[in-house]
Amino acid sequence: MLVFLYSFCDADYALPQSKLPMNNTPEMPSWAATAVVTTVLAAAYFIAGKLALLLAIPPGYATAVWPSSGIALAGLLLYGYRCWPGVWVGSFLVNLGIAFDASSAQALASSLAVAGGIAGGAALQAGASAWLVKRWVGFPSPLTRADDVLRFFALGALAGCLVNATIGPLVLLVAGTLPAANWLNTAFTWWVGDVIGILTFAPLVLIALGKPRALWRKRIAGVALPLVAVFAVMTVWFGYTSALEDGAQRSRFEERARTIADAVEGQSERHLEVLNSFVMLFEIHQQISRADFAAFAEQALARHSNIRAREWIPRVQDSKRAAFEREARRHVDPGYHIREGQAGGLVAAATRTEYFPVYYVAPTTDNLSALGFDLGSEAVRAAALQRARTSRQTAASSRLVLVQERHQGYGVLVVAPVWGSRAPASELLGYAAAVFQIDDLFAAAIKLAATEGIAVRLIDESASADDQLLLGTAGAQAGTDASPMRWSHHIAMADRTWRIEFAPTPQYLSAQDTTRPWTAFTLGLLFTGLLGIGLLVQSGHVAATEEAVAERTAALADANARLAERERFLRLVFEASPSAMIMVDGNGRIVMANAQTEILFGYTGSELVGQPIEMLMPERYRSKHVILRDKFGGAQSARTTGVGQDLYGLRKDGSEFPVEIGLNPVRTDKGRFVVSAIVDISERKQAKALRQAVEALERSNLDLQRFAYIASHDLQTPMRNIASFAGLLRDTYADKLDPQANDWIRRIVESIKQLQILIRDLLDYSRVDSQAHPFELLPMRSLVEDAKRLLESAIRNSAAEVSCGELPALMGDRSQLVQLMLNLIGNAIKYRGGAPPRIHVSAERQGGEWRFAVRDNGIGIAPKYHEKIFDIFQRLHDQRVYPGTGIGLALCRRVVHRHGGNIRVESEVGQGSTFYFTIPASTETEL
Amino acid sequence: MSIQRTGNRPAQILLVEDNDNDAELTRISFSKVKFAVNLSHVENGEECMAFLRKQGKYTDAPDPDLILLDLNMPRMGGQEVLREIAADPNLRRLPVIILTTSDAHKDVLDAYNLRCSSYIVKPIDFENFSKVIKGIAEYWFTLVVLPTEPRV
Repeated sequence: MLVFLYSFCDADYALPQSKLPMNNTPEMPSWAATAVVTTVLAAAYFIAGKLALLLAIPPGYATAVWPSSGIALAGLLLYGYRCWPGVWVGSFLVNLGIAFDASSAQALASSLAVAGGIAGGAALQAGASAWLVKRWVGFPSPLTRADDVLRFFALGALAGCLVNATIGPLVLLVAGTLPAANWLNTAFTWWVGDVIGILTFAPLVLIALGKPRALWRKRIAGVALPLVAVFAVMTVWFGYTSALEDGAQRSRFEERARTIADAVEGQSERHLEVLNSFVMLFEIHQQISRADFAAFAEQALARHSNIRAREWIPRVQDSKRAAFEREARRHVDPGYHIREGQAGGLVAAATRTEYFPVYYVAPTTDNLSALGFDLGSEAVRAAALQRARTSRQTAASSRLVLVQERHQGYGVLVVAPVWGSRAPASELLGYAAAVFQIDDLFAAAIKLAATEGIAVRLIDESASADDQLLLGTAGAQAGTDASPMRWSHHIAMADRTWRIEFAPTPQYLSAQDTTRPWTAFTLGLLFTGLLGIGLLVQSGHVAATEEAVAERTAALADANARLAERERFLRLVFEASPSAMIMVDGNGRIVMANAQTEILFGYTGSELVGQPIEMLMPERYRSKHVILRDKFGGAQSARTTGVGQDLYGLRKDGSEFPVEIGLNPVRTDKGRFVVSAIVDISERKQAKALRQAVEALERSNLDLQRFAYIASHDLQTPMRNIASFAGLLRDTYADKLDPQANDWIRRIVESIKQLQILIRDLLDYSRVDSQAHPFELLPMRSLVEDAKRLLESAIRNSAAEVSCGELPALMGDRSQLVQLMLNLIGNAIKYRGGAPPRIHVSAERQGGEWRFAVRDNGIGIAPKYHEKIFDIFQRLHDQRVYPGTGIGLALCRRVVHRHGGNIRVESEVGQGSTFYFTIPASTETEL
Repeated sequence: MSIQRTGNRPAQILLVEDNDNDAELTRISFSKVKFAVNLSHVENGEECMAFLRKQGKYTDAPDPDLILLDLNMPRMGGQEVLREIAADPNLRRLPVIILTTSDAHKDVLDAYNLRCSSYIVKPIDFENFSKVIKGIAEYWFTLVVLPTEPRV
């Protein structure tokens, strides 16, 4: 059921609503669910109300705690304003139970209206309180913050309860049930009751049903249980003190009653005693004169003034009647007759065997009308007479309506038989009688009782049921009296048993000081309520703390996890470092070494740890290192050693290898350590050596080239001179010299020409690398066109056809590649056979390079020369047939090599030649 | 036939050349030319400057109409001479033709940057050399107005 209820908590909407409590908020739960909740709320309200009434202090409406208001507030907060009918119905039923009066239509309507009005007030109060809470505290709220809790109670309880504390008593006032004087008191009581009801019970309901469940659930132990326990204790204590108080009240009452009863009993006993003394008087004197009787009676009456009458009742036999009457007329009263009652008056008595007339009576003044009255003529009196005669004891009659009849109320006749002393005590002389007016008899006691607000009833138990009531004061009711405080006592009245009953009147009850237990209970409940607040605040604080702790713990765990993660990572870094890393303590002992150290030096980790660091270096360094180490211990910053020096590490197998060491001192709280990174630089050294060798080679190469360049350049001048003068000689002196001389001069000039070509070619060859230009993107096709242009005359003269296919663009040196094409195509033209040269230049992509082909239909080259022709100055033919220096192909090879490619030839004698050379494709050469 | 602009006096040419043979060839070439030319020859840069400034033994040296300057000379090279001539307000007007074996682009640039008038590469064979000399003579002595022309 609780689960069912949880699901309908509209506790997920945290926005406080500033609507009037009667508006229904549009929400998801179905109306059926709302109806269920409303019904449960009504039932809870009703049950709590009924239980609370058990703790009520009379009269009726005021209770020190009204749990229903706490339930109502919590209910509306949890399930919404729309549940207000539940509060109304519950309150209506409870109040109806108190005030229900179906005695008349008007009373019924009034009680319904009163109950309805109070219920309306309760519902309005619940709604108003809920609204206040939602507006100023917000709901749902876990009520963890102190000011939230305090505001909740200040608004929801202190302020909100003013509503019904005003409305309820007002309704009662209007209905007339509540005297105006008590209005403020009652209102205050209501207010206190409602406040404490909310203080104690709203938290309980919230703990049972509030959300977030986790948080409220925690409060079961910390708040709900103590609260319930303290409340129970308070209730029990109240019950106890109430009971004590009740008991005390009862004792007090009984005491009062007893006192009064005693007084009454005492009085009646005294009266009987007086009667007895009368009896004795008569028995002794046998005959008493009227004066004597009067005197005696006077005396007695003086002491007991509330006896109605004292009488001497002689037995008069009928035969003696007339004489008696004459006697009586003489001594007692002139108008004396024996009379009897009839139709409200007194007439002469009818004739009977015996008469028992009233002869003497005192006090005379009030009782004149009784004189002569035959007691035997009246049934009740006669019965008493008879009983007394038979039992020979005093007898009392049942209740009488007195003849004297001045007062309302009953009287009793008590008769005591007087026997003649002469006879053997068998002759009845008459009776001594006393008439008690009950009211008068016990007037004092009754007045006393009345002032104290105790209702008294005097019952004649010996009489028949209808005649039993002798006396009943105002407020005394028969039988089923609701008041538990009743006390009765038996009084012996002659031969009858009387019962005197005491009961407290409402005035008596209200006059009792019940404020003490009520105040105590209220304070106790107030304490409970405040305890509730305190526990809520504290538990809220605890919850907040717990939450903070949980957050902190989570954060810590998180941080720890991250730390552990980081540590693992760093450890990994250390272990996986490509350099050997060693940590050494202040004494030079190895503390930590990573995996690379093990690999580098050939030891296992366990062989290293704890050993002196010197074990890793050749013997010759060790002692010096120890000294250095001590010195370095004081250093603050990192150092690199081994750079530029010959530092060696010693492997386990005894071999040495060059190392570079970086050192860094670290200060930890465990002392000073040195972390060193060791790198095997043997490869680096080799590489360095290699590089140096290469550099040397390159330098010498460059030198050679420069040498070649300068040499060829400087050779030009003398060569030119020789050629010029030889030419001059030939031109100027040709006719002055003989043919021999001319011939020799001719040979000189031609040799010079050859020399010049050779030198020029050598110069070109040497320039391939020294006069190299940076590479640029070149369209090979245009380079071929350039070469063709340069060979224009040769092409024309030989009727050559030079064609080319699709040629790419690539990175290269323009002039050199032009030279390349020039040489290859030039060769193709030069080394032609009989047919006009047909030359084709093509290119083909092969992986990352282009393979060019220059195909001709020339004389071809025998395979055994395919390598040789690329050597410098190698010629296969006679200078006169095919002029040339033999440098062309060597130059081509140099150029191709410079571009990162290769050159070769495919040819057969008489089948033309195809020269293949490769140059890397442009995209791949770029880095 | 073009009229020599120097009029009734021969053109004065200063040849700055360290190679004796080249100097001889130059002389021979000029001798074949149809202009009246007086060729003076100095062997290096210092001599050249002395000649131009009529210092030392060159006090009676004539003002050259044209200077033929070789680049590769010991001690004071052609570029230096050019620099000095350009710096001298009296001499900078004189046209200087670089006549050298070097066809290096750098040499060419340097010479023109130093405000030489022309840069000619000496042909290897004599026949072409003669043609070059002839061309020089025709250009400079018939076409061009020289700064040292006699004023009429």
